[in-house]
Amino acid sequence: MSDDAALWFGSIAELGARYRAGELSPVAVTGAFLERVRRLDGRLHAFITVADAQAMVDAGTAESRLRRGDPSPLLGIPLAVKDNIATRGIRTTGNSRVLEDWIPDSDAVVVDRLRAAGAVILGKTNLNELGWSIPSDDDLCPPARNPWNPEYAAIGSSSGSGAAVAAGMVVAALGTDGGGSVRLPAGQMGLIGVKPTHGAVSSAGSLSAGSTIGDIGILARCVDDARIVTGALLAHEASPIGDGAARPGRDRIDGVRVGVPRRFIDQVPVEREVAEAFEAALTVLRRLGAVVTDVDPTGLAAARTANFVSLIAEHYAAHETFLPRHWTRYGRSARLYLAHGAFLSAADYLAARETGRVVRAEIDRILEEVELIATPVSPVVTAEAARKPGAHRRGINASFTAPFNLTGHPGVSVPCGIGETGLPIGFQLVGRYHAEAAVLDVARAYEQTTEWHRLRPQLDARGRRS
Amino acid sequence: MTMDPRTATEAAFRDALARLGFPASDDEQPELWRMATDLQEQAAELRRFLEDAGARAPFVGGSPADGPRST
Repeated sequence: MSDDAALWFGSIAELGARYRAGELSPVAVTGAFLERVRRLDGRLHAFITVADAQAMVDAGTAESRLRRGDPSPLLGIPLAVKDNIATRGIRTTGNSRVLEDWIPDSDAVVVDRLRAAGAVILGKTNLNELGWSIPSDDDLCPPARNPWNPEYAAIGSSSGSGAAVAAGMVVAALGTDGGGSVRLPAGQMGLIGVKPTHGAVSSAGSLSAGSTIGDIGILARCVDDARIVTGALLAHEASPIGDGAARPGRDRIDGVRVGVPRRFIDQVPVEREVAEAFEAALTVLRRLGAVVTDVDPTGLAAARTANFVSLIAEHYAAHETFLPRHWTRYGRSARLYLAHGAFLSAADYLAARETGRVVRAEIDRILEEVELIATPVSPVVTAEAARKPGAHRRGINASFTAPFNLTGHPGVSVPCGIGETGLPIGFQLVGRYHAEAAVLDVARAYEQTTEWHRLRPQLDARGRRS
Repeated sequence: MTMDPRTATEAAFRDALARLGFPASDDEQPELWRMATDLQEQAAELRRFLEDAGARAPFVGGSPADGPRST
């Protein structure tokens, strides 16, 4: 089993079918995945905590449920959870020394839902400290590397979740997305990344609980897997996401109207290979019958800024009392990013919220003209380019993702190319509130006619590029 | 914090950090000042955007026709 690429990179449906055929068992598979994590993670740093013992208990429970004929598609499926989402009995650090010894006594709602569905949580994945800083080798856990080319850092903040899924260490993972932190790593690691409609998935029990812009999202290797995990998490009845099973007509997108905010895209410093991959993706959508037109929503640049101001204000508020008392327990980047939020006024924050109201109305208006909006995911390919301090402080790397955190619309990152560094490139589809199913339908139609999601990082047995 | 880092003196900014209880080191203070100044510039951009969008009449804060104010 140790060299079974079909296992490491199999889909949820494929793994479930092998369980139900008696070919594999959750206990054996969990053991094999844990062994793979041990082999690869010394190089990739995808995990902060590997929950070996609990995972084997969960696998045993899944095995019993399978024997009883339980049909849950997530039974025995190895998943990972970003380490800013609480897990009962498993250390939850936020990759910060501030929380390095915190062992929650209850699960976040999303973890509870995954466990109820029979998933096996292999461990907690790496992230930028508290989801909000520039990673450094001095962090509690050093930065995750990109499995596609470990010479490069994995982009964050859900960097470890992306690396774990891309490297075949788990089938899918949870992340959090307050400005693009699920969609950006998904784009850079060849994955599907889902940021649901704001509030549709409960964030209770995560460090982003209460955020007006952050949501728990999903990273997976194909749309069907993303759909199954998203479906297990969605609380809102208006989001019937389905179980990933094929639906007649779902791969046909004839006449679907896709809007491209061309003027805004042209204002952002987009790297050449990102622009080329995006145009090629639009060509595929046209070939599939979509009607691709330019749209011109106003306020996307302001929305990017307002999302950044909201993020800073809300993070500062969360740490206001702890930060001065424990200054040096925070990493340097994290404490400075938190501290400058002290210089925002209530009026600044409310201006950001008001900008959100205005731009949401504008996006809602555009989404009456078209069903989806398409953009690149990130203007740049590498994390190193995204983290240039001036650009990072202004959220330039999140130009296409952050506006939809502020407005709350669902967005999905879809693989559409490979850059010269060997790192993948993604494009984003944004839909109407609670239209995750429609967005995933178009993503799937695109995916099924391209090969990008079938490519795998070439790693040797120790997580080095081979 | 009501102090505007864009117009503050270095001494006033240091005082503000002290009042907040932030034990920022000598090399952290100027970086924090730059970050706070840049952030205030961004907040000012939002006010300009809202005024240009007609979303904020002076003293009134929008029109009932805009609908509910929550997002």
